[in-house]
Amino acid sequence: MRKEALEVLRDRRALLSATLLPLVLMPVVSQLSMLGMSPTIAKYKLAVVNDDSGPMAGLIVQMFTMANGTEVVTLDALPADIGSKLMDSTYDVAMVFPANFSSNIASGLQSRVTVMSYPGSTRSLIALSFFEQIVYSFENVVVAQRLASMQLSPEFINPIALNVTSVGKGGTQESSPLGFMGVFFLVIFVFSAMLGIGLEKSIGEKDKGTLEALLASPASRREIVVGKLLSLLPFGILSLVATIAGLALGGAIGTTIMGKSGASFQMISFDASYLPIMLVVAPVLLVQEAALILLVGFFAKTLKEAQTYASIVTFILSIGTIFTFFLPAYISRWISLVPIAGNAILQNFYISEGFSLFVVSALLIQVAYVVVLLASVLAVMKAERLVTASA
Amino acid sequence: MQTEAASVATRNLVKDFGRIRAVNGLSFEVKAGEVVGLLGPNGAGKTTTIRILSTLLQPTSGQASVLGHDVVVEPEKVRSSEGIVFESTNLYEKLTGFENLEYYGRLYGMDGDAVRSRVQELLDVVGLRDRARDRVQGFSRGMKQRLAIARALVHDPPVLILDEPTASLDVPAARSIRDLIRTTTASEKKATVLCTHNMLEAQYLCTRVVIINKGMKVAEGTPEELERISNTHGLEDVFLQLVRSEVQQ
Repeated sequence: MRKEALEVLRDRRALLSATLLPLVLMPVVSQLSMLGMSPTIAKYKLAVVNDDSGPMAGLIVQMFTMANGTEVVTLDALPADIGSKLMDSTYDVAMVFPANFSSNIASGLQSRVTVMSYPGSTRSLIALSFFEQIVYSFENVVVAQRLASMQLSPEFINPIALNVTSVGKGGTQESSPLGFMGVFFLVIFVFSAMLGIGLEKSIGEKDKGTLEALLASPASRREIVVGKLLSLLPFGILSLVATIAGLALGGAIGTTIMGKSGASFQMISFDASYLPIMLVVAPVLLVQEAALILLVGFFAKTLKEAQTYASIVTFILSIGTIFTFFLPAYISRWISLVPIAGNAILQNFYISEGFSLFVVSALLIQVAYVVVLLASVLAVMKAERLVTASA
Repeated sequence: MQTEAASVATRNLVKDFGRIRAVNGLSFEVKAGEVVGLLGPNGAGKTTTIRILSTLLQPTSGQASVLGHDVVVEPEKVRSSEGIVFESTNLYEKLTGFENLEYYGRLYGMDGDAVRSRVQELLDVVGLRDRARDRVQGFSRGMKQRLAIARALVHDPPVLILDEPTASLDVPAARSIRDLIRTTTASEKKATVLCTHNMLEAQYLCTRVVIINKGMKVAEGTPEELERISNTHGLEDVFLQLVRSEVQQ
């Protein structure tokens, strides 16, 4: 193991990528969402054409102007190239209030407002939602006045109130809407950090010829596998810590820039409520991923073949893990029993039900996978194909 | 008169890879102090034989033993008794010369001061003492091969197995490696199996030669005996004569 560790420590590029990549990338990813969509860095730009002959459209426009993070540009008419201006983000949203806006409302009728946005821009869609909320809050006032004039209460038009309660542990996302994605990044970054060095220690040794000498030495196959596995784990731990630190750093930067509201714009940041399950899952995940990488490396005949297998595994892990977040819970439960990716999904079940019988059982199954994967690596190590010429 | 037991012995050794028979009933022995060359064209079965003796492959049938230990039944004892130089140098590029030898010394059960002093001694023998603390990635091919030989000798094995030790070396480097092998095997009476298709090398180093073709032994003897049998001069001519005869048969 000392030799394995020496080789790893002398691979500065791999060390840097294992630590710097998640440490830098995670805050950037979370800040990009903020930069792209929040109005603090770049105000939402609203183009307004107010043809209303009455005061109401003007009141709404005033509400737009007073809202934080908006820039209202009043135009006499919509330009012919308004489509292009929305597409190139000159404006995020455009609105046209018709001449009969106030009169229709006063007459108890409905007023139609023309709203334009660009669906290809997430920022435009969020800005649209933002301005819609302002309009609807004005609408609530109008509705309340109409009901009052008819001597009716607001419950007249809201006969049903939904009282929503969460089942299970009642854990909540402490910070970001996509905080659960943090565990996905853990799975991917840790795998990626260990992948290069793991393939070097398996198929790389075969290519360089050092594997022959190692297998011909008194060291048993088991000792060789354990030594290589243990030398990969510090890399994985480094990447794990760097990913968590990167997620936390992203959240801290957002909060520093935007105050407490910054959290709501952090699409992905560290969610501390996952910490207990992460501490349990992390060792299992690390060993599973390290064993899988060694299995791929020793199974492949050439480095190119190993890299192909590794790409397939990475694709399945990343796309598969994300996709399963949106499946119904009864299907996700089964998928949480799948090795490696299952660890990410299992953490969400922890949030809702703690260390329930299901979560503990699934964890034990994940531990069993460790044994299966290690046994598979040993089986491949004993195969003659390991030392005969590659195809 | 008691004959000395063979340090390395194969008896009717057979190795199949699917339908391909790579080694076909090969039998030979190597005694302590002998350098026995395995000569043959590409695909003759030399490397497969070496791999069986190294316990990397198991024979399909027949027997192979090192110091009386069967390669299938007691592979750990076989591995501890051998020092092997493979065709590629099998060195860790990120480690220094010293670290490479120390690592292998420890793998073979040496520790502490014993391994360090042995490594220093070997670095002197192979002429790499002043490059001991340099990483192997900066070594020339010849230097790597010298270090590979030192690695094979680190645990002072009674048996040496050398697979094309001078392949792809230039003339001066190849000569220095051959001199090193000659000196070491003679002074320490190691039983050596030398796998090569370089006839000059075989002539220079081998006390006996086993000529193999298509997995089978074609001839065996000292270089002089083989010259007499084939009525030729020089191992290259011996080899071509015998292999051609084998093909014609």
